Amino acid sequence: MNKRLLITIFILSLIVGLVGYFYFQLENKKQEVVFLDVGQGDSTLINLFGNNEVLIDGGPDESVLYGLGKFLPLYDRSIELMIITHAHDDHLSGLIEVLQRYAVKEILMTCDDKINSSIYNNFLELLKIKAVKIICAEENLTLDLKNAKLEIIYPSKNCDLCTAEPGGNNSSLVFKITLNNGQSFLFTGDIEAEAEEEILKSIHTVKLAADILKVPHHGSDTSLTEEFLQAVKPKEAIIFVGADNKFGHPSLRTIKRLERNGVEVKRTDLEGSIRYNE
Amino acid sequence: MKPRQVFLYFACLFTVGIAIKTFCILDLLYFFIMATLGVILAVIYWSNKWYRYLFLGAIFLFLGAWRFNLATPILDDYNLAFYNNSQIEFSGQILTEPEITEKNIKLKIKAQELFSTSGKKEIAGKILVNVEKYGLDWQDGDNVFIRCKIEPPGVIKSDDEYKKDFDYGKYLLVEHIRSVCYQPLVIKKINEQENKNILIKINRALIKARQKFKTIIDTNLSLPASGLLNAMLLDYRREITPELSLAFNKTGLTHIIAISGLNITLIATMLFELFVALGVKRKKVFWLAMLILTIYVLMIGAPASAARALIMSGIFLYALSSGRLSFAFNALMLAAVILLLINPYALIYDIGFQLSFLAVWGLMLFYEKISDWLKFFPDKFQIRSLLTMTLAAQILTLPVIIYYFGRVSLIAPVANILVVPVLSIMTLAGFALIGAGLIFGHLAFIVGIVLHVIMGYIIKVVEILSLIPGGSFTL
Repeated sequence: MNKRLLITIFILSLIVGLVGYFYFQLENKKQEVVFLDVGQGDSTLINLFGNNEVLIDGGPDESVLYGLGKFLPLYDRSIELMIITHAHDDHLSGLIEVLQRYAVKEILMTCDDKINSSIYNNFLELLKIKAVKIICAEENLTLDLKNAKLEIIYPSKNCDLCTAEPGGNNSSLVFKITLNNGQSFLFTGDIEAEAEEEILKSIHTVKLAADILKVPHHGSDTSLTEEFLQAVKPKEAIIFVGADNKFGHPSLRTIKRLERNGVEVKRTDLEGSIRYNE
Repeated sequence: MKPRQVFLYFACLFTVGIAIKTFCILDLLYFFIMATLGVILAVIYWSNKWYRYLFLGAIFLFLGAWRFNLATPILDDYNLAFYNNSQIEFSGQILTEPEITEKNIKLKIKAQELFSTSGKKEIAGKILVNVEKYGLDWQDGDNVFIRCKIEPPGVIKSDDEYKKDFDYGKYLLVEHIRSVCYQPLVIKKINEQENKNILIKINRALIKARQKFKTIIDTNLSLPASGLLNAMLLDYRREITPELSLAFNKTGLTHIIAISGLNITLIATMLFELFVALGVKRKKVFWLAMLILTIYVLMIGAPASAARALIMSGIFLYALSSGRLSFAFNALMLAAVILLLINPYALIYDIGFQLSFLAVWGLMLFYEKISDWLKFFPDKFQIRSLLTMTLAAQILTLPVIIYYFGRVSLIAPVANILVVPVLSIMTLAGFALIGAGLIFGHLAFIVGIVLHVIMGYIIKVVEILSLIPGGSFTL
């Protein structure tokens, strides 16, 4: 090997090292919440300081992987916390893809053993294989996410709506995440009017208030009652919805209701992925 | 007439025989009568060399038609295709690795038994079955029971009015699939028994290896980079989004996302150099490289296209090394005849077959000339020879591509010059990633970051060039 080659290799690795170091520093300082455009389904990535990622739901297919590829730093192949709101395909399927490709450390879920679907069983099996630590959601449980706080609001321990349809819309996990800068997000899964009523009955409205609301059930007209919206009092609302979906989501009535209450509406079918960063 | 020319003449007639039989239902009897007449006339005019060969050619015309006839089953009530457009219950075996697509999983199934009110009977025929993507695990070799309304595969209408419709039926016919089941009412696995056949076991192990390699790529790269690498190294083509696929199409680079002669030649030359560097004797190098390539081709499990690529690039490499490029056409014709003997349907229905034949022919005709033009390029990492190959291969394939896909890419030469030179380093890094992933995960992670940059470059070039107005147009 000649001298020139050695010097070239040395300089090249120095450049790569430096660029890598600054890239790492830059990415490490980024903190953002991204509502991923996954078509007709939900998926939210919360990227906290210090490469601490939270993924809430995974959408219906591998679209979530393109989202992660775009919004996660190159070197980051891990998800610190995964959250599954309920067992429907448009929230769950993408998580199977994520589990197969990323190192997932913990998962927050309603540990309901009555859910019986082949996809859900497949998912549980994968969690076991990948040795993911399972955290069972309980009412009033608070998780410290370092630089953010997560409070679980629903479902309660003896939830009749959940036993009526295990893993169904009204068994969705509802929780609030508050970032250190005070910005708060309310995640509602696919709850419908009945579950909203249940929540309003059992929880003090102060606990519900949030800056940004993830509109329940893709903006369907069976969800988001006037009372619930007024309790949350969001400034902005996110609707996860696929273009030209067969369900006719979001309903015009829901959008009108949001606008009447002075809430700015953002939709993933119109805007693509929606980012909130400081 | 030299023997070389005689062979060429007979090979052409054999091909023509297949072509005639593919297009029209001219009874085999007529071909037989022609062949008999030919032999009689040849005997009469035996002393005249020209007439002798002219008439003997009728035999090869007949042989071509006969081969095609043998490959075409009689579609009676012992064949699955007989039941197209009706709801039936049958059992079968999954033939190949299930193909995971964006929306579902496609299973290629060989039918075994048909169940009806009058009992069960054995049937033949292959069918493509779409199943739900999540929930159940499917593997090749699984025995399944299906209830479904089966259909003949039709023409898939293109969303884009400028794009040609896709004839799914012809595409599937190459693999002798004459039925599809888009929505099985029931599909379940039955009596799973350990298969004792050694060939099936080897095939299983190869598929396992391929899946393991894919996992390594998937866990170290993110989409879309991982999808592109999976397609280029392992022939998993379904993870490329339609938008990216269109961009490749517009820039005339679709050939790099399929396992083609280019990839195989690339890997072959790399193996040559690796073995030479390791001190293996020159003579052994060729065979060692061919052995590894054969295993690779078997592993990526696309027998038809990959085997074809191997044969074609083998011929080209041989011709190149022996310095008789223009004379290698006979070898190419021989390869074509062998491939057509294996599957006569390939001639008319398999676009890949037509393209690879024309690509290699183009290489033989234009390689040296283009190589002269590109003298100014450095030949480090085979950059110049790769570029020459890509451009030469595209000259004859261009009309066929325009005919089938209706698109002309004017930007293609620029795109090829920008992208092809990084392919060798990409292939090298890709296999290094797989190797590192098998041994030590953290090492793979570092290689992964390098690959990210390379894949990012390819994707960016393709995306930007596809946006240039007038870069490509549809006919």
